[in-house]
Amino acid sequence: MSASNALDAKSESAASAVDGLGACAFGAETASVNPEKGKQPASGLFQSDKDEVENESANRAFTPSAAVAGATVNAFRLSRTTLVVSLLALVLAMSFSVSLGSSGVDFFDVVRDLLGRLPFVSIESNLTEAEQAIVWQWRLPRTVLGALVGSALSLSGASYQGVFRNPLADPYLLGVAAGAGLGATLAIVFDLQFGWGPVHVLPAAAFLGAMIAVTVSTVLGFGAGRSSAALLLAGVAAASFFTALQTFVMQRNSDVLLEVYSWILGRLGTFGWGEVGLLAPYVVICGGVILAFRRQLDVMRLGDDDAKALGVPVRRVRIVLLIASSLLAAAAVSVSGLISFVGIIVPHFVRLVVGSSYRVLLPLSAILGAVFVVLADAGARNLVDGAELPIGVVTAFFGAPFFAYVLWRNRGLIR
Amino acid sequence: MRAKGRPRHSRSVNVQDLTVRYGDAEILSGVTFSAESGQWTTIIGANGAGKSTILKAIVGVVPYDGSITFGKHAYRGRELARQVAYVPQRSEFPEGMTTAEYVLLGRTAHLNWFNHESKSDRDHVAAILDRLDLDSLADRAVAELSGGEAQRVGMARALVQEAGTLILDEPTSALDLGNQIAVLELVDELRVEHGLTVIAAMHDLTTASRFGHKTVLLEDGRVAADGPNAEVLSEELLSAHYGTPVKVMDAPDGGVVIVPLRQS
Repeated sequence: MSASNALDAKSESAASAVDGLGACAFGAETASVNPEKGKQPASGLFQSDKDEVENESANRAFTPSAAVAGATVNAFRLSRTTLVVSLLALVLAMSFSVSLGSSGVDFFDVVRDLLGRLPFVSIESNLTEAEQAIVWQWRLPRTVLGALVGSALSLSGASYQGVFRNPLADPYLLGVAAGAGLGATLAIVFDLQFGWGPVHVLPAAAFLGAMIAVTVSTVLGFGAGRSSAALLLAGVAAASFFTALQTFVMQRNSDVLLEVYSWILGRLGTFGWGEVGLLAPYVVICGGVILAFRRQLDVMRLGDDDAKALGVPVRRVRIVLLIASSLLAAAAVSVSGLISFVGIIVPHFVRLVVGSSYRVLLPLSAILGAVFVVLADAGARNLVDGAELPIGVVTAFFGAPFFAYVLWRNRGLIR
Repeated sequence: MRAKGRPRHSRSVNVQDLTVRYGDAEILSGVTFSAESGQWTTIIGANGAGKSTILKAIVGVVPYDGSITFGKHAYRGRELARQVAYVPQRSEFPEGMTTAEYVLLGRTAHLNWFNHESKSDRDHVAAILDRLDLDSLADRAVAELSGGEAQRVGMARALVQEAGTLILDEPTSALDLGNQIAVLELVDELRVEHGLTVIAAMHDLTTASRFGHKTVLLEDGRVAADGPNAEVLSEELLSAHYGTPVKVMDAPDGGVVIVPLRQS
């Protein structure tokens, strides 16, 4: 398939993804707009009266899509079908994950139990009290935490890719992973395994380490120059330095290697709702900030000069987004460990399959990132009998081949 | 009353003592000229004379010393983007973006706090696409457009900005002969229709001579000459500032043909 064919196929699939609702509304809009065309200030603008007559008849002779374009343009719209389908996928993935486990709770019973707890819904639950406890105190919090971590990492990755205009940018770019790794290693080495309420020392140390590393690389990067390349290189420097420190600490304390590694490879060990409560505010606030800048990110795809000339304060947007996405990634990493791959694979999957406008990319990355990590965690818990796999291994082991397949299917799209 | 969609302010652009530095290098030194309201001003000069830098300063992309005013006012950020629209020499056309989406980004400076394009923004884009005969390309990927199409799409993005001043950086550099004239004719038509003030940096003097009211000749970041086309595009001035003997010949359409001569 040639490059242009692939693109055509993609735009067709995007067009066919326009849902029933949207298509109806759109059709109605078109019909009601055309008669008013003369009254539309914008369309009246360029046409003398004589032109207008010609244009009306010309419009009628156009192909349907051209006639539609003559009335209004359809651009940057996230189709409702896509949104509903991905939300549905999230609900299914979460129910699946909750129902999976050694004390085989029936999938539909879990769904019934969950639905039954919604206000105004009275469905009898078939779960025993013990099963309810397993679901509510262990599996559900863990599943929700996985969803939050997946959303956080994907949103943060998509945002980094937009800010740096670099497809390889990921949430760990400015040293989040290295800093968190050092913080967690120190906490483990000094055996600081306690906490106050939901706040434990290990995640707090990881969060602090991540924020210190990010601060170092941003101060260094903005000091070195205005370009994002300077920032990127500063991130590389900071990350190497923190990784070196971490390796040194680990090498001097080889007795904790196993524990440090299990943290690095990622794990959603949680009991009760404490971690969910810690992470949720970051996802809501930082995620909200990132989503609020989705249009500016689209403008910034045109390059810094064009974006500035169009009135976008590029530098300010970049700084705000860097802070929000770094905070988000650090918060996620501090409760889950270094789950790799999510922040790159999910946004690119959305780009290849749905579209690369940030208005589509950011919300879908948040949802599908959650789906991905929830499914990966379900796999991590159940793939191997009697042992839990590190979730980072599962995301990479299944994610990489899947992504390679998507990449291959869409070959020609990435140049 | 101003018709909605018509540029708000077609004003003169006054550049006073404009100095731009990149690090230690001074790219522009005390450039002063003005572009009259509703007229076409062409900026010419050898490579590296600072043509693009002047334009970038006017649209607020590079920091500068000196003053640039529209009428009597100076603007920044969003306000500036409502005054002046910019068609860069080379635009980036992102993968996976359609023509309509690309042009819609031109509305950025007019959007409300929620950054949501209203139906009137979309209608506006549709009208401009229609005016520039681009509506058949609305759903095509911008990355796939031909040079002439891309130039028109860039122009469409600038026009939906509803700014009174249009800045063009070598609009014909990537185009074949026919498209060069077509694009410049289009700019001139739009200038008349909207009363736009046009400032264009041009490379090809022969083409430049056919359009515009006045010409500013730059040399090494300074204004070497500034006046009506016929005055600036003279054999003496061009020979002196382009460093090669030049022959200027009248052409049948009122423009001139400018040919560099071999120094044998």
